[in-house]
Amino acid sequence: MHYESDIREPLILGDKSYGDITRDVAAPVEGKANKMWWFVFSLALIAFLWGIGVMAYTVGTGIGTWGLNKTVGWAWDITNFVWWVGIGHAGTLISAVLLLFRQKWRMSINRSAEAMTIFAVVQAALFPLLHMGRPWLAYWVFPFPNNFGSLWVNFNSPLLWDVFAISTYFSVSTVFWYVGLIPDFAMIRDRAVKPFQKHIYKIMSFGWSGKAKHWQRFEEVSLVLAGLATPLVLSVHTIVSMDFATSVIPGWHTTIFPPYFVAGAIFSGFAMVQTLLIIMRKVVSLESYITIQHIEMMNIVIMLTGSIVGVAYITELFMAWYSGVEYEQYAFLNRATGPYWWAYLSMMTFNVVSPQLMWFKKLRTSIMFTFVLSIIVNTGMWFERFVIIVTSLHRDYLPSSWSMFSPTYVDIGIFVGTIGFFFVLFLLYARTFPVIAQAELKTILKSSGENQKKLHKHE
Amino acid sequence: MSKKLIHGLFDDDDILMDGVKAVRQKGYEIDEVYTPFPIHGLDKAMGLKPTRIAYASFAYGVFGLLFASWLTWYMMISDWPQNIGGKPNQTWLQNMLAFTPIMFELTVFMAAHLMVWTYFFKNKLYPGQKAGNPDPRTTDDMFMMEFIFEGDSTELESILKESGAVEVNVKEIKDTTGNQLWFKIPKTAVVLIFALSSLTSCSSSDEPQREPNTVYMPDMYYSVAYEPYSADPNGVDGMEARIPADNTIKRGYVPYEIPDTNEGYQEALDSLKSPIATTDETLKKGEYLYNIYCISCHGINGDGQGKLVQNEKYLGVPSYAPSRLPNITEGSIFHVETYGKNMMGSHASQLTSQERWKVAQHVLKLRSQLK
Repeated sequence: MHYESDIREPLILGDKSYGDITRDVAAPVEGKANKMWWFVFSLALIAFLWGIGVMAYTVGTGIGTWGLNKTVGWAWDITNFVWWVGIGHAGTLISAVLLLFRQKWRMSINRSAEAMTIFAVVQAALFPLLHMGRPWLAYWVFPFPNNFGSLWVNFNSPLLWDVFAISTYFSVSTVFWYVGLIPDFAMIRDRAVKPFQKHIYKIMSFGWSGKAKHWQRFEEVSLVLAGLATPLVLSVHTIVSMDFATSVIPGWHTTIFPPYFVAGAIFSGFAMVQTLLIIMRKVVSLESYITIQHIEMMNIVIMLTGSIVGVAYITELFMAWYSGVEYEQYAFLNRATGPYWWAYLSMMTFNVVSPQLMWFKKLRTSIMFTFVLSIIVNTGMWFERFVIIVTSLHRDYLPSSWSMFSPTYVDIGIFVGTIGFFFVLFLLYARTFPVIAQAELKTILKSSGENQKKLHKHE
Repeated sequence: MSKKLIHGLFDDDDILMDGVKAVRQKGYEIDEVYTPFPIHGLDKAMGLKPTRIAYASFAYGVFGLLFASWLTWYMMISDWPQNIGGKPNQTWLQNMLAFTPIMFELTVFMAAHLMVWTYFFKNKLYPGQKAGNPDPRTTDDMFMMEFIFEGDSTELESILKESGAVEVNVKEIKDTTGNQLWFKIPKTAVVLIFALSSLTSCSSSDEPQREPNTVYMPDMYYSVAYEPYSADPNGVDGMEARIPADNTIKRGYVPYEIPDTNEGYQEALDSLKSPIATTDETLKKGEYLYNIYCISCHGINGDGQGKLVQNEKYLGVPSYAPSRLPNITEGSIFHVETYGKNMMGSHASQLTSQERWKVAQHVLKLRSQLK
């Protein structure tokens, strides 16, 4: 029944049984956190608290506390927003697109990748909220009957499309994630010994029983959600890119933005998954499930999307020259050789050159190299957004209003705060949630488990 | 006869599948199978009907699409049409392209969320629901067939045993095993997290030093003269820049010298004449512009019954009809377009003077058709 070619590498290493998978996945939840966890958690918490402090200062005083000026009206806030949203693309891509393609290797990484997605989108959402200046009026972005003359939102605006795209993406991803989590919460519930734990997981698991009819619906729902989430994930960064592309700023007003942004988002999202999972597999002893092969597969995706991003950068330069538009040409000349040349150079090196190293099998199967590269890629992607946003704005049509942007401690604090918040959420998740979709993983044990593969070989 | 609850427990999914087939072959109906993970083909082997939840999702998606179409039509076209960037704004179809992102997102939103609600509802899953599986091991590595059986069950029990059941029970069993491992984080990981946060947070320093320490020929760098537009105590008006000479105009601007007063209105009415001749082409352009900039209030016929008037957003918009406004000429229409009148604002920043004259031509055409 469960045969697969010997040429395919096993996805589950070691002599594992169904029970072993259960125990391995439940172990981090049932065990106790050690000092190291507390140490890292405290660090993240401190960064988060600092972030809350400067956010409160921003709300109380106004966004004049940021480094924005008359010329550069969008800078770190939107850079960080796009960066976090981009990172939040890998999770749904792994769980939805790879499900449709029946890629079995997604199964041991999709849960954490989706968690990362959701936590990243939470960080992203903070930035437009703060930039509003009056976050308590944030509900004004939704079309609701009101007494302000019953004035409606503007459905022609890409910023409103963004509201709909991000909120749909966030809520659908969360639901997709939770539907998959329910059977795994049930597993932890059924193993729990302490009454308090059992009670919590009983609530979280919604009384899951594992009946045949429920599993049948479960699989159908997963498939349909994957089919819905696939165009959704592509639409989100497309619409984010339209925030720029529908305006008439040289350097922004280009039709290449949607595919270019989507590729960049997948690129950075996978890099963040690598960063987190390389640590997590070690910390919670899941090396048998998140194998070198998984890391290699993700590296190949990083290489591919990195190359697409590289082609997009070069196409942009070509189009600036080919268009014959003086302002467009200057915008790109200024990016590469103007006062922000260092940001452009970092972007080019980190995003275009570094992923090409993945052509070497030795490098893409090296854990240490992958980890370092994943951080380089995410730094590069931050610079990409910074370059697109700030260098396009800082020299406008009127040379007398040319200016530079320098972040204040509040800008930096909010960014560091969101990184802290992200890690606080992820560390809490790693201690309380089943970090691998164990129910799904069990379905491929017989076809892709190392011991099973050996068994068939000798038959 | 009392009913029996028979549980056959298996430790392998393939053996369970064979067991399900064997039991069904002998004519027994299986009441339930509990498994720790989805097993492909089990639903067919048990004789379960295929689920129809995907059809439900399709219907929810169609609802989402229709809802979004209605939402955008009602808010942007029907209730409060707005002139946004000088684009046509009176029909939904012409605006639909700008609404597609919203329509797509709401389709996905409804299809996904309502389907999941249906899934929870049909499965009776909700927070606080009691665990539905009789044996906790069925979420771990055990597979269980459940029969609610009346009569002699010895044959069924023996079929279960023959097909490989490791346990056949009439009672529920409770068994929990705890296995605890330590949660370890290697020190290198902590160092690397540090590296990550410092790398990203220190990419721009707080107060970068922009000016070099020495400047060659500072007189050339730092102007001794006043900057343009700065205050200048010796200047004529206390500022560096001078007020432009009288009658200076900006490029491309056509001056309009009649003042925004009642006398000015009368002057425009009496003596202002259009510099452009009325042709089919100018009338067509005038109609096009009118249908974007004026239609929401003045209405397509110029009867003052635009959508915003009909919806009572603005009141008191007059009809162009000679009976209501007996005394208007193309000069007075141009004057009003330029300066606005009463509730109406100036349209000089949105329409050039050439365009305003063309709109005036269309207004006169509408007026001739009204009574």
